[in-house]
Amino acid sequence: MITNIALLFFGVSTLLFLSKIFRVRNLATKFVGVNSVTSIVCVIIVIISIFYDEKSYINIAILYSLVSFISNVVIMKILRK
Amino acid sequence: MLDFIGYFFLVSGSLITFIAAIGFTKFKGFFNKVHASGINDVFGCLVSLIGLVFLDGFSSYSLKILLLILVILLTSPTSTYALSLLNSNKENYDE
Repeated sequence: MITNIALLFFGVSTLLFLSKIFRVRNLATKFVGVNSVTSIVCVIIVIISIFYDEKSYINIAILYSLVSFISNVVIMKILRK
Repeated sequence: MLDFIGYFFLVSGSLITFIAAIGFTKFKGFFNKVHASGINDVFGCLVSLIGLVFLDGFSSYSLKILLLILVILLTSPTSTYALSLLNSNKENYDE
């Protein structure tokens, strides 16, 4: 029950971030929002891995956060040119 | 007792994330949005993950969650800083 409330908050937060990402025109603001969404997705993966007893998902979450960091740095390098 | 602390941290983190999302939606200007996003990255998600450490108990799996906390704590503010540095020379901050 409490976990469902937390997941509901995370889901609504993700939708709010995505709604702003699609509406905003500035490209840097879009990527700041995407960065937040990736953090929320990591937390959701860990919650699912604990409460559905799939212990291997935590490796996916760690890899996902590292890949999102690398992609953010690459995007910054591209946008700076 | 550990379950109570875990659920408290989990719900607190999700609530902080929700408030940060409202701030990201409502604030005007680029750097105000960066502030809301940084609160979500550094405070909301990490508090939730600490709650999950308490819920799972102290095992090898908790060490992996602590590793994930360390990774998020190092990478997420860095990328937010890099993206804000990208926009710091632009004249038009608002959208």
